[in-house]
Amino acid sequence: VTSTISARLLFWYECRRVCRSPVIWIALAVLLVSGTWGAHNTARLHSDQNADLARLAQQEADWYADVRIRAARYSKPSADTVPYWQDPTSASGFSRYFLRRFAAKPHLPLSVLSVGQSDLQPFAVPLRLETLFGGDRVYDYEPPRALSTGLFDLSFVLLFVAPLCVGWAASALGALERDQGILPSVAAQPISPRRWWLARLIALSALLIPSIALVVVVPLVAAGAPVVRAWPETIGAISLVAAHTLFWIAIAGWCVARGHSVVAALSIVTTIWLLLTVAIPIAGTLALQWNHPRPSPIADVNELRHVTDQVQREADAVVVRHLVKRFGLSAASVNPSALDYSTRLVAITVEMERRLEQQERRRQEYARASDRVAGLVAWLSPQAAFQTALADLAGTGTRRHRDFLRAVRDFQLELRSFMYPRVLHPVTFQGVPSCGGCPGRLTFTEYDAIPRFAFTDDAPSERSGRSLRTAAWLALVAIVVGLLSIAGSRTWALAP
Amino acid sequence: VLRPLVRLEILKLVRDFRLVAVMAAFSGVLLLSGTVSWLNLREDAATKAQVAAEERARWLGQGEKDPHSAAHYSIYAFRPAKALQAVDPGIVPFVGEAVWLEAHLQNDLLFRPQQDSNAFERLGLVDPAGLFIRLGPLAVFLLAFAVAAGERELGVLGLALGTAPTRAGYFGAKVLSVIAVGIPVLVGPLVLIGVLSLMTVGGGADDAVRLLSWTLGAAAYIAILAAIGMAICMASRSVQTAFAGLLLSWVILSLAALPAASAVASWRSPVPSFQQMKLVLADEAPAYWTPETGAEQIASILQRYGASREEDLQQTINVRGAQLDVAERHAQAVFDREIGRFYDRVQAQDAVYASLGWLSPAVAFDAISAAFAGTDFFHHRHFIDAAEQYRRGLVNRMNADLIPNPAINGREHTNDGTLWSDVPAFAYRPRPALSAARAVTPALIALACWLLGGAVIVRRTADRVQP
Repeated sequence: VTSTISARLLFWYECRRVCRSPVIWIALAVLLVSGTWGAHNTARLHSDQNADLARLAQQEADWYADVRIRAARYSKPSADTVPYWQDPTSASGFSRYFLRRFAAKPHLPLSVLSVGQSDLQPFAVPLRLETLFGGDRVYDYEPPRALSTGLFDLSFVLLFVAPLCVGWAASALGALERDQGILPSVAAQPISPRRWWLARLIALSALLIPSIALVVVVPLVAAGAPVVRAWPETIGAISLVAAHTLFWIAIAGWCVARGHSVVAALSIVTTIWLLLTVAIPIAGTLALQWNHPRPSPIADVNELRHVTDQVQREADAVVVRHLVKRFGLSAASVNPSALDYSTRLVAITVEMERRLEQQERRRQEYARASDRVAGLVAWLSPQAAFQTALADLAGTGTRRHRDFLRAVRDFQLELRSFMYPRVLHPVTFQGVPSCGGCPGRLTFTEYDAIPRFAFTDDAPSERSGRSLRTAAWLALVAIVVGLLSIAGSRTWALAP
Repeated sequence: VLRPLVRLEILKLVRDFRLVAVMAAFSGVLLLSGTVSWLNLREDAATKAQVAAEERARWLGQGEKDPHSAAHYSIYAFRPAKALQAVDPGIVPFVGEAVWLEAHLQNDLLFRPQQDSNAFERLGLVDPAGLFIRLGPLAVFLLAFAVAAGERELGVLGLALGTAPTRAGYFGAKVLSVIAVGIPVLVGPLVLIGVLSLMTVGGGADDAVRLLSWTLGAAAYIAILAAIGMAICMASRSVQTAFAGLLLSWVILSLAALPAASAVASWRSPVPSFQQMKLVLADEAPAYWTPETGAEQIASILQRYGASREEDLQQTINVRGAQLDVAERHAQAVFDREIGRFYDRVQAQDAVYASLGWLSPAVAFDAISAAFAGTDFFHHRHFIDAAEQYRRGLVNRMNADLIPNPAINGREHTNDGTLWSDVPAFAYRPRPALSAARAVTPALIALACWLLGGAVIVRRTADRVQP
């Protein structure tokens, strides 16, 4: 018998053993059932959110239809009078009381892969011109108890249940001979321990990796995710899950190769799992709190109120300064008290943002520090890296949300640059055209020209590329651990 | 009879230096997490108290203005920090902590601590009770494994059972030893943090009762886990099976049970769409009304005052103020119906979750822990309602001042500090501990059943142990 044939025989023998093991089938069944349920839970949440987005869009359309009817009515001569805040044809009135736009963050094709932060962070943000630094601070109210326990989703199964199942199965299979006391008999055969371990690890990987990948694809399909159309993301997800499974097989293999019993190997796998899943993220959170304390929103409210008081006290001067800056010295003669509240708000909002710029900068700095720590935690903990990559691929992670918030702010500035000149125009150019005897001021009727929010996502290939990089990192760590365990098994680890 | 056996088992446990090291690690993690939580809470409480005082000063010192402008200026109310929040933050990281009580709107509470966080911050949430509920079972199962598996591994279980007066007594002593070690190791650090928080953050007799109740619940949780762990070890034929069984039980009973119970609760008692509710509010109770709604308001005001023309009323009352009052009271009714109904559904879902305590002791204790700490939605809603009642009182008072004072020569009525000081400072009194217990009665019953069931299972399994 040549050594080559021995290795092949050994591999097929191990494959048969893995296939016949009830532990493997139990683990896969647990993952399949819980994964399908988890994906279904996320699909339901996201479907509700999509329905909300459709409702918001419909409500916005209905609103503008009503605005047009009113505008038409106020554009005809009538004995009625309409205050500016009830007049959609007044640029200033429209800017504060009629302008409705919302920014939507639609779900990506593979969103059911991970609920990520999508149960916590808003997916629709209403826009107002006077809100400071972006959209309104809103959130979609998911029951907070459910947020604190976390949603039972597919990523929970992959992150929490799969490693323990894989560790359990790999330890139980790997240490069987040792625990049953037949390892000396194996050692007596003409097989080197390295080859034996290599065959065992390859057999485990060859069967577990495709099976668990299938266990991921089936729930995705069952939850209605378009896995074929979104093939780059599907490939990314499969690669991630494959690398993650390989990592945990390598960890369990390393424990068993060192001669540990099933109990000891499972203990070590569980401890490593705890360290990577709980301890490192907690350490990251504490490090972040220590080095970059989160800006207190309560103190921020205090500052906001203080600055509001200051600006309101100086409101007339603030308005005149703004007008002079915009229209030149001729605007200095404008009586600011005669301007309506919406027009004054243009200058006041800009001034408020100027004075609260430091506060916003503190918030941004904290977000950047949090991102830096997140990057570090991902390097230190393959579990955190895996979780982040799944959420990134699903489009439910922090990265996409931050991009969304930036886009919301850009859109607010775009809306302001569209509306503000129209609001301020009548201030310096009195006698703006208005039909004789019409209740409407007719300084703004270009409703179709109001910009609309459009969120440009990364290309699917980009998202997939990032997940492939994470998968490569996990696979590299797994291969190193696997090689270490094989290299360390020069002699048979026989029980004393 | 039991006492020497229990003492012996405890001695065996504390002599195992590896086990002592592992338990010290569990204790240390809980203590560290609790300390960080307490320090954050202390700072938070001080900031809230200071800013609330400044808000009050701002309200009183806002100078002379139109009362309706004052109602818009209003105040921010901050949810006060509860002392036991250091032990169990509950839903606090996922709900807002400040609300602007302005006219026309029942605003949401803003600034959810977790909203802008990275995923790892949610994974590594500094939540002492969360760690206790999720990782406590692992520590207790390790203790149970250590006291129960040793004799089986050495093959002397038969001999030990032969010399024991009764099997139930023998295994009962082991369970008691696990409880005796588990409680100081796992519950002790959190009780210490609770006491420290009561002393520094502030809390009265009610909070002391809450801490005592929480401690009893936590001790019961440890006892249940000890019984389950021991039953698994006794029922297993081998050490390996026992360990696999314990690990599987930990994953099922604590890690998976909490989100699974949460998913079942949301399936059985779904919460309607928040966005949809918001759209209804925007539609039925808009902050700024249309000319048509304005005309309806005027008609109702004319009817109320027995006048036929608006101009007739303008000499006697402030029609704008009366309109504001009509709009405000209409909005309040809409808020009660829509927001009240929405929060009722959230609370109903929490009640379903609490009633799922029979699924796992972790679920039962999770509901109980947040209830006694005062950090569940039941308590949160009480604050929301109290803040809303204060807002309504404030806005209605401002409108009431405006209505009898019509504008004179186009100049609107104003008022000053005399009126502002007529509105008392916002002082929130939380719910008493008894009402918290009442809200989680099903979970308390489930925990008691688990305790009783654990004792029965240990007894039954002890009789059937095969050495």
